[in-house]
Amino acid sequence: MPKTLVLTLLACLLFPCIKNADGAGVYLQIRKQAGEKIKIALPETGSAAGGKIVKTVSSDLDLSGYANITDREFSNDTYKAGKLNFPEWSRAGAEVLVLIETTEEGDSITAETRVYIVAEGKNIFAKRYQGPAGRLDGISHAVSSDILKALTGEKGISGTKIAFVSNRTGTKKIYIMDYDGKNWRKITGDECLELSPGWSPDGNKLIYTSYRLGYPDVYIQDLDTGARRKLSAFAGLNAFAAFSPDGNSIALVLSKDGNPELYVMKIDGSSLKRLTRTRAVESSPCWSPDGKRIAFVSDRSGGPQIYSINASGGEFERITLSGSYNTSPCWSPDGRWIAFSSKLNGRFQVCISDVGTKEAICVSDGRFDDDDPSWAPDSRHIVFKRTKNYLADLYIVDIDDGKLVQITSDRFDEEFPAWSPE
Amino acid sequence: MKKATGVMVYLVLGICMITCFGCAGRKKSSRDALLAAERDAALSFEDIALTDAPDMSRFKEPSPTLKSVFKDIYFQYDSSVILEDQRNILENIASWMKNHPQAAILVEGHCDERGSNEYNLALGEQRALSVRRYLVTLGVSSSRMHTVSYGEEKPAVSGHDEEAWKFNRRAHFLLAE
Repeated sequence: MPKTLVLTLLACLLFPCIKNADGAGVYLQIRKQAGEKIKIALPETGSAAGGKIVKTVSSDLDLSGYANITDREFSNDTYKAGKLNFPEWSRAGAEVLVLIETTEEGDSITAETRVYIVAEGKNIFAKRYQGPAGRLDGISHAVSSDILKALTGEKGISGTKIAFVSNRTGTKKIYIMDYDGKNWRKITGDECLELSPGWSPDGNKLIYTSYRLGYPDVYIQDLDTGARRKLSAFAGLNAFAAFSPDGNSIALVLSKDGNPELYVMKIDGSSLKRLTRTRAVESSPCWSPDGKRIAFVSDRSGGPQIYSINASGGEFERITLSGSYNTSPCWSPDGRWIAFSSKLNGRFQVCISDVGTKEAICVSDGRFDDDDPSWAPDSRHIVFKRTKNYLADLYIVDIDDGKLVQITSDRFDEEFPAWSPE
Repeated sequence: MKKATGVMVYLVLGICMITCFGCAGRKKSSRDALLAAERDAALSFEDIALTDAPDMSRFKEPSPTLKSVFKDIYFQYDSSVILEDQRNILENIASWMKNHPQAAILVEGHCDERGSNEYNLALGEQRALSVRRYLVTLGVSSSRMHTVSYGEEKPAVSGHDEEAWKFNRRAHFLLAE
């Protein structure tokens, strides 16, 4: 989890984890196997700030894919301080009750969160969060992450970010936002074309292509300090840099030898190694989570197709077996899938190929043009670019239940999404 | 020598594919294979390393009179093959370059808006390099030619149909005299 995300951890946690789950994760695991979602009640709180926190937490739990928020029209009478009427919550259809009580003092907000299993009347989680009133979204996402952790054993995606490119200022520039599309932040003050952001495995750095010196070069930037360094500026194209899972190496495409080819190097720029030698175009490398293989695009067979190769070089293995135009590979963090974009019946769709069987399933419906898939750390959600009426926006799809959510919506293009690690 | 052998291998391969797949009735595959072989044969096997490019501000749009020499080169969709009807432009550029030995050029590679932005960025670079390779075969020194790809990011013509796309799949020249 990037340091910048942990803004809430600067919030003093007065009572860090009074209680934590034992067995609650298992409880939800059983539900998940049945494909059902857990019904969570999340009653409104009195204050305006509390209302905003509840709204964001509710949206996070909903987007996580694990939970359904039951009807929020609960009477606050059901809960009175110190008296939890669990039979009442049970009749209302709730399996889990989340209570968030906020207090405001000057510029500081405190949100005390408790999670109960309704059937057992058991408190499985309690924690107090504190932070500045201007950072309610950050507090809310931290609350959501902890609730999901208590229920599922996994942090989920609530605290994650998405790096992407937008042309809202007239120039394509890299931004970072919360995974739900809020709180945009430009990463440089340059007025030049920037493309293809990628995260370091620790989430502290971005690597990207910038034309700040006129030519496409690769830069690496620390997100906390803003300090950046030119990593690759050979003659010609320097692009599509991707960190290896151990954070020590970069795969990228260079044309310095006279054709776009795939290379790997150490992040200090040493040990440059050429992996391909073709007369074709190579682009868009992406590492397998074990760091052993690299998926990439090559048009050696005529049109662009997805291949993989050993990170130390060797033979190409073709991944996409059908379709004339397959691009933008992205390996899922659990290693099971390679997401990619495929042209089918004249439209681009986001599909996922099973790494074991190479069978592909398309996760978008083919009504628009979908491209640039990037996996969330939960290997369940994919962010992608959808082009509709010649405008590109970003969407999130849950591959388990097919739920689609649009996260950017404006008169400009948002593209090249890259989902942060946890 | 090496290059000629490479081309021979691909011609033989092409003929073999026509024979093998043609009789099996798989016309599309044989055509695709032949196209791929042709495409491979059309591009040189060997590396022609790029030399470090000068500061980009040194490259300017050619003067109005020189625009008649440095015309844009157009390409087919998803291809960096130099089309036959574009070759005379490159021949004119090559002779101008020979008469102006101090000049250097920057070849910009561009694509139409269709398909992956990343793949198009690499394809744009290959188009610029393909122009450079062709000029090398016409006797221009590779060290006088530099490349930059903008992929689909800087279309020449706005619009979302072939009328616009055909002018956007291009190599464009800037000149440092």
